[in-house]
Amino acid sequence: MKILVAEDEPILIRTIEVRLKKDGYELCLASDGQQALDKIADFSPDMIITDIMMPYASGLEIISYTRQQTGKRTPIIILSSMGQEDVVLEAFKLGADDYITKPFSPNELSVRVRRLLTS
Amino acid sequence: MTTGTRVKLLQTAARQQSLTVLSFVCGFLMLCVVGVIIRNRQDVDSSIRWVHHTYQVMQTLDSIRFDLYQSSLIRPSADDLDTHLSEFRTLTRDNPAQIRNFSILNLHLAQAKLDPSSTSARIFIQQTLTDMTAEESRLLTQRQLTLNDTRRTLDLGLYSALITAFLTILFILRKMKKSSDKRKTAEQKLHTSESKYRTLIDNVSAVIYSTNQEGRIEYANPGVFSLTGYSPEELHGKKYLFLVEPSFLPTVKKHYEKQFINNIPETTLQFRTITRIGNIKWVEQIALLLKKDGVPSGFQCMVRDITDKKQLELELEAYELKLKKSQLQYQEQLISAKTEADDARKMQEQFLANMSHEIRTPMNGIQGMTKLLLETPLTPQQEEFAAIINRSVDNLLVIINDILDFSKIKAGKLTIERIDFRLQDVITNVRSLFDHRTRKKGLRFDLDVDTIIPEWLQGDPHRLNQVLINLVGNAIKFTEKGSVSLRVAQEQRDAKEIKLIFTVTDTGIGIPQESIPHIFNSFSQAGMDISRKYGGTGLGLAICHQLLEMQGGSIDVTSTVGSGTSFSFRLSFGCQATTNISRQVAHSLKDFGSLLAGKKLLVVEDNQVNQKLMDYVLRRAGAAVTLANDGREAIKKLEVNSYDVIIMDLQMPHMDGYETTKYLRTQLQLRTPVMAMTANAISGEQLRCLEAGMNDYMSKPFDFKEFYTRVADLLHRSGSDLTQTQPEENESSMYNLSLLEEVGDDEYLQDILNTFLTRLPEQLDQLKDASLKKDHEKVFFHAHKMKGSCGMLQASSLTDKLSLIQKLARDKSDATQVVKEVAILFEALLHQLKKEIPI
Repeated sequence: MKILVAEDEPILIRTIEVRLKKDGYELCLASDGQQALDKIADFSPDMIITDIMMPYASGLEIISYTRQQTGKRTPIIILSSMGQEDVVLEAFKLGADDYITKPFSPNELSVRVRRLLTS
Repeated sequence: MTTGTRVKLLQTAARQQSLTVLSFVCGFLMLCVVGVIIRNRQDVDSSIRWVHHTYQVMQTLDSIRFDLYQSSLIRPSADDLDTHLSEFRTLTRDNPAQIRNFSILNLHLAQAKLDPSSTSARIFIQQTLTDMTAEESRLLTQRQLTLNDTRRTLDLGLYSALITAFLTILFILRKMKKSSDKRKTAEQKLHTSESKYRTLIDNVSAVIYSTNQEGRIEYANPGVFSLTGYSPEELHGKKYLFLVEPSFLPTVKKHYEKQFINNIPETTLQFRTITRIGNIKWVEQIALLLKKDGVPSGFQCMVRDITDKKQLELELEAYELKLKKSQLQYQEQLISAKTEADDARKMQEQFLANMSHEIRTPMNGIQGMTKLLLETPLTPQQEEFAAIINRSVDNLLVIINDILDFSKIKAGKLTIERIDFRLQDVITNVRSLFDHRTRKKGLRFDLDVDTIIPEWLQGDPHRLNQVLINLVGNAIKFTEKGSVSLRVAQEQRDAKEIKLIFTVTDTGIGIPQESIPHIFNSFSQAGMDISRKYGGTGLGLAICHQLLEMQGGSIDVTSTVGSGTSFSFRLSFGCQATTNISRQVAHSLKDFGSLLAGKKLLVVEDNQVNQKLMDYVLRRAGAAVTLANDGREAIKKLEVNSYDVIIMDLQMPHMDGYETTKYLRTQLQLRTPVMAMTANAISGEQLRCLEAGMNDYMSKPFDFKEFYTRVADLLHRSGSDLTQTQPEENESSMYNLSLLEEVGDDEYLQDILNTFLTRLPEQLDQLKDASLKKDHEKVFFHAHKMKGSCGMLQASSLTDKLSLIQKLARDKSDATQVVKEVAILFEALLHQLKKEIPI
């Protein structure tokens, strides 16, 4: 299983990387929105975990790109912050599958990822 | 066809019908008359014939008589007699009487023939002849009568025929004249209207022309000359397009082709036309599609010169553009003016805060020293003087506080506390404050506090005190004789809350009715002379009003000029106060005599007066005091000596209170309690102090009792700290690694923390930079990113501040202050991390 993680904050991306690698997933990291968009095409991930606020392209753009341009049903998890509830709502409208609020528990993330990938 | 014309037509048709009938009747009558005349004529002819016949008969009779009586004798055998007799017989064969007479005559004649001399025969013949003549005479008379009758009838017929004919002719003639008159009028009318329209079309300023389907002009009115410079004759047969200004040609051509093809009955188009001498004119053309048998056959156009209108429009447009531009300019000016005003306001606030600091510092010395002076043995006169100084300082402080409070209220920085307090303390304070003044003025001061009000209340005693001092102070100020009273009554009460009504009444000069609405405005007094005569800033009531409003209260005023004023306000307080014993500890400085006995205190203060004051105050309580002039000196002393409590001024040269505290906490690893002393009344200061590692905070000038209590408190709290070296409780909550530890990878944790320690300072710099540049978007972004990282370390004090920054950035407000606080907190977190985790 290949997971694309789009997040520009090193601490978060590292945390997600280490935790999910432990679960045996193959990870592809993108540190900004543009990289993420490029890698969706090249890497064709089985799942996307994306931050909302990133340079060049936002999480919302990544969702709509995945859903509309590629037309794939790739599961998408949103990394949101407190106070971004309206954006999360927007993300769900665009086709996101789940969200997790920062700061998040790495174990919880692991559970959410597994659940989405096995359902 | 209109209804009118239809009616007219119907009328004409009816008239024609009646005319026909009339002609028929006339004709018929004429025929009758002619018939009658002809018949009469025949009658007359036959009558004449009969008369003539009678004459003939009588002539024949005469001839017979002549034949018979030619001679004296009857000569019945005369030659002509037989001829005449047979003639007679023929003539009278239709008359039975004459036939009978004739046969009688013949009889007698035959007798006479036989006897020519017979007289009897002669007599008889004569007799018969006479009878016969008589008969004829009778007939003649009769016939002549008939003739006359018939003649008369004929005449009558003729006359009537003549009359009828005459009448008919007359009637027809009249009719003919009438219709010819009508036609003439109609023709005239038509002619008039035609010429009228002709004149109109020819003289109208608008140009009217028509074209055939090729666009060639077939007709143009003379008006075309003034518009184009060509006469109608010159234009005849030319294509209208040559009059269109070239740049408009495609548009115009396309427009009319479209109208022609799509069969649009009427269009209006504005375009430019070129005249004979090359002038350009703006025109508006209304084009009606002409149709022949339903097929478009050309245009009928009306053209209006709209050059002036267009010119005006263009000018208007240009003017509007100019106006818009100037409006925009004006707006920009307004914005820059507003920015300037805002800056000025900020500067003013800053100035006020600075000034308050500058004033408070020496005031602290004066007040403190005066209080100390009052504690020393003094002669009664000296004591009175010292007391006056004391009161004056208090008054001065009230004014300074007024100004400060007002600017704080304006800036929205004033906060309302909710603490336990004794209402009696506040009232007593007010009373004692004005005791001297009322006595001096010879006024009575009545105090009436309802006894059912609980002793302890929850609220902001300082603000209540402020309002009461203002109102009572005003009442005394404006009253020359009589009394001032303060009444406190309970208005409402439930388990948790009590609503009190405070009334301050005086018998003073009163406020004119028209001034009442303005007295709560800032810098407003009832009149200019008031401020000259009584002094004051004019801020007092405005502050009262604002303070009460902030506490959910309201204020009312009733006043009569010359007889007094009454202010009343309502305020709610909590009435579940938990008695705070510690605040009741002492009522006199003397009670603190041994409170700090044997304790070593370091006072870090650059102002010499304050140094002395502090030194004295602390020594009185039995403490051993060491003085340091600034932070550096303090650190030097701390490196070699240990102290129980450090009293730290915040604004100092070389190394201020924050730096010093941070240094002694981080570098010297000292946990000695630090009490901050500041003259700064800026909000957020207290927080900054706590975050810098200080333990308590007091603003100057301070109350000695409070100061002692707080210092004692600090000593008590740190008592255990001094023996057991545990990390401060307030610091241990700065972060929590549980989320990161979940990953269960030590190397990773190390890695993450290293990243955090290198990355966060960078981000902090970016955040600082953005906030200084007021780039709210960037501030929001960086705060968001930092929040993400700090969130994973569960540094809630930091994330809360970062959220606040985000909120400020979203509101486009200045976040510099909070960014500074974040920097301080981050510094502390960093320190803690480094200390607790071996990285």
